[in-house]
Amino acid sequence: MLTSVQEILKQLVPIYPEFVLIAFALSVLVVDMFLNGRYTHLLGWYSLIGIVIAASMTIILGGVQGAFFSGTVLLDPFSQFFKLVFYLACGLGILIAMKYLDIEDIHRGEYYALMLFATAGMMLMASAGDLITIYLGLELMALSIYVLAGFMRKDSRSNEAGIKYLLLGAFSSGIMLYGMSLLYGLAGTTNLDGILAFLRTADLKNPVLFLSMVMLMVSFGFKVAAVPFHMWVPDVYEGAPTSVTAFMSAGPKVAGFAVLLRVFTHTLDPLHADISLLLSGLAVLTMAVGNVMALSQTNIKRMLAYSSIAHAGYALVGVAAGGQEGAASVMLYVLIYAVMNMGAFGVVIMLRKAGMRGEEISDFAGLGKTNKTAAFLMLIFLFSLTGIPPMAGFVGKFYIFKSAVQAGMIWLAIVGVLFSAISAYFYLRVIMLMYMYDPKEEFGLVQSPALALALAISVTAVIVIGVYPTPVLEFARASVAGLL
Amino acid sequence: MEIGMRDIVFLCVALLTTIPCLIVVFSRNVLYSAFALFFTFLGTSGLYFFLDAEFLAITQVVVYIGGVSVLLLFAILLTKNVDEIRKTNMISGPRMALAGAAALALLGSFLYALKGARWAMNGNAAYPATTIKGLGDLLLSKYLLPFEIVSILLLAVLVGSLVISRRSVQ
Amino acid sequence: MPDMQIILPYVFSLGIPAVLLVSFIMLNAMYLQLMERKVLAWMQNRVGPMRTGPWGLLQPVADAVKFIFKEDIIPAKADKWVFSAAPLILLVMAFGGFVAIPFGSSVQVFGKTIPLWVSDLNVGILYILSMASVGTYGVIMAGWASNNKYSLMGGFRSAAQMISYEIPMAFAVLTVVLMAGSLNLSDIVNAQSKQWFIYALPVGPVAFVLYLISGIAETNRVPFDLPEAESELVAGYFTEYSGIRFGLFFMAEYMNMLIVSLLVSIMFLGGWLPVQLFPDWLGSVGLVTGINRLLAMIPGVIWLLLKLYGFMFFYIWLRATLPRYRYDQLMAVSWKFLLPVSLGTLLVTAFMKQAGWL
Repeated sequence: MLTSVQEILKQLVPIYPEFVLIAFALSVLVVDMFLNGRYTHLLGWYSLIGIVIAASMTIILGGVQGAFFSGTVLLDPFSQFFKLVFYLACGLGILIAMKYLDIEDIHRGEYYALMLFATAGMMLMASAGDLITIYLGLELMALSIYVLAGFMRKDSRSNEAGIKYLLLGAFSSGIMLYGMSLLYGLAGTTNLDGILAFLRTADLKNPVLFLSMVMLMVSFGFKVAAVPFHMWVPDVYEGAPTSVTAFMSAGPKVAGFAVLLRVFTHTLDPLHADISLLLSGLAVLTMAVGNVMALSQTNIKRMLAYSSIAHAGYALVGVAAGGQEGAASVMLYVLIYAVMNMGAFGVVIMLRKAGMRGEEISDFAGLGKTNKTAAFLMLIFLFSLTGIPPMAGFVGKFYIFKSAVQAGMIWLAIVGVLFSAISAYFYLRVIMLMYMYDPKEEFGLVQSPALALALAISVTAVIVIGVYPTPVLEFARASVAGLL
Repeated sequence: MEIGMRDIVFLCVALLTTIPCLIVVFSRNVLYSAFALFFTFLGTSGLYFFLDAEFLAITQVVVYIGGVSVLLLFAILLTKNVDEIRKTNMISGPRMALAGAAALALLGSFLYALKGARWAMNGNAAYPATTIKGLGDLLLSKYLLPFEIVSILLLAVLVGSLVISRRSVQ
Repeated sequence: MPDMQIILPYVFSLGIPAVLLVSFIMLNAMYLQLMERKVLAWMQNRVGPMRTGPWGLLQPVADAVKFIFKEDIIPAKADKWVFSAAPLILLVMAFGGFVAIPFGSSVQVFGKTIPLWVSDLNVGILYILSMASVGTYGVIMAGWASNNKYSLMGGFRSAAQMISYEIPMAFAVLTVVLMAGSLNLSDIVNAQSKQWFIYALPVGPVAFVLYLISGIAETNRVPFDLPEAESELVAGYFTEYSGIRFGLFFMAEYMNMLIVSLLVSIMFLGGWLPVQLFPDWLGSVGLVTGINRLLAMIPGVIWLLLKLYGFMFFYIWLRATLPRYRYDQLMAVSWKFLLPVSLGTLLVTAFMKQAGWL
């Protein structure tokens, strides 16, 4: 009996990180039952411990490669890179949430459990070796986040966000499943490598193949909020609790890109020409709509929502470019994007306190005079989002456009640069408001050690990667090598 | 072409699946839609029977009719004024035309794509007398991990639905 | 004229069993009602129906005639289609359940093999469960279509109750399936040739009780007859029904009771296997084997029917004895007691099976 238990534990090694996260999520649920409501924030720190343990396990497992559980789970540098991004997103998400949840009076243990469940789902998506695992990981992530988006039950906007996201998400899942089943019907297997092997010998002119590829693209496009599958983004981002919005803009989007990269540049690689064409179309649309719509927003969460659409567009340029360089640039980009976006949301959250929403862009007026640190941090994040050197955002965009040029899509790079220039308008407007205008009324900002830690981490990452991107880039390049 | 008993049965089952589908979509009363859904599910189950996937067929009935659609009815009936048709199913003319056109275009492209498709067939391998054993074996060997993920998924859903629907925090 | 050679086998394998089954169901649905009235009467020191025929034996016929000739009223504000479809759905699903029930191993009549089932499905037991769960739909439809608040409340209650009790019921059934290693009802009976599952300690009796309780709740019978609680809801979901439609509801209820009783007999009491007064391990002591052999000579169908009517009697006995549950108690029993216990039973059974103790 004992040997068999050891045997089982040994087989579990490749999914230890996921295992740890889920175990922590379950224990959070149990502890929450017995915990006095005043100490719920301890569960946040407790979950962070879980994330750190899982992260160290992922790093330790860095040397292990291969397919496990009959090929349903892959362990490769690619998935490990993304898992580290997810840990970062989830950790930052928890750090910025702790104080905020108190203010919104929705501080409950389930929040952290659902965050951990969602993270586990994303990790499964990133390391999926089978369509089934992709789907299940995606649903685990999405269902947790639907609930998180509607977490403020007494707020009708939050309810609306939850329901909207759920309905459209379910719809996109349906489309994805249809695409997957068509692919399965053609290839006779759900295994990604098996499908690739099938495609290498198959007739690529088959319309069914094209149909299933388009369907997968639609549903993944929904997850990464590409236009025209972006309708839900502004409302959901605005309605959801800000801490969830921050997490949502980083986690699921990055997970979507992980799957997008794995499926489109690895599994469906023989279809590269079609994919590249469609994706570059999507990328142009996404950048256009995201940037142009962001211009007229008055709500900072909505503005950041459109900005996140636009950033998905930049990343899509990298996917469309394809190849090793394209994939590596996308990975670098999503990492940078996750950090800077969560940082920006961290500052937005500081403005939220009892009696004040702090969600209007005009609320930022005069921040540079009342709170210099916060304003300066926001300045850095917004510069980075615009893509101004020496912030990380510049590095990300640079490599994305470089990969597009290398792939011979110079026009796409030019379009991207143009839209980046447009985006400067609405990012810099906030900065102008902060420094050039006087505060409407005196207000103090919400501060907490956790929030400070989160901001410190993100600002350090933004600057360090911006100044010295080589190690991260090399890491991304090395990770991608195994994929192709 | 000779029309055998099998074809007639298939036609009946297919009609049972598709006609209520149309009612689901076009009915102006959301309750009729829900009732029609019942027959669609039944028909789908019949299609599975037709494919000799008996376990799947029964599960379809238990889960979708016994579970999903009954809960659906509950939700509808517990909502106020639900049979006031104008409030529940309002689609304006132009929108309907647009949606219809999109749906038809989609249908057309599907038909075009699926018409000449060559599917991966399992050769002439003998079809198992019962699918349950094979399903069980696969779930606990090849698809063990997805199977376990499903349990986590369901737990997360359970927690989530409690979070949403619990009466109050204290 | 179709070829008789082709059709004849179907007549024996499908036609005769189907005809037998339908007549069996109809007769039972009629006469069980009489049985209920008689038994209740005796328990309450009355005589029950006596005027129609000897000892009231023609009472069911009189009832049937009344049902058929009574005016069939559809309330003006009721939803006509749904209103008429609801009892049919209930009835069809109840009939559907019987299709998969084997009444014994096949018998030889005039050299022809006639099976005692209409269809020996591989997933028989799941199929019957699914038919029961579909019945819920008919109840809700009836409740809603009547356009009557009592009906609607009754429909709701019934649906909630059926959903709640389906779960422990399914787990109890799964326990049996695990013990037998098959979803096929004939296989389940054959697996009990050594030992009936009710004797399979410690899980057998627990699963038996669980199934019995949830079966009674599933059929909306006393003490779980809240959907039609006459003191609060007039008659629940079929308040507005009259004439033959009401009769259909009535029949469906008795048919469902029959199915539950049949399933209990088949899953736990060895189905058509004969009662063995003394277990085999006592050895072949002369008298014991003699009695056992004598009992085994009685045809299997008779044994099954004996067990079946035993449970029908139990149903009626309960009705005469127990008061009605309160609604919250009813839900609490299912979710807080039956469900955990049934899960535990399933788990223990799995462990025992793995360890080879079953």
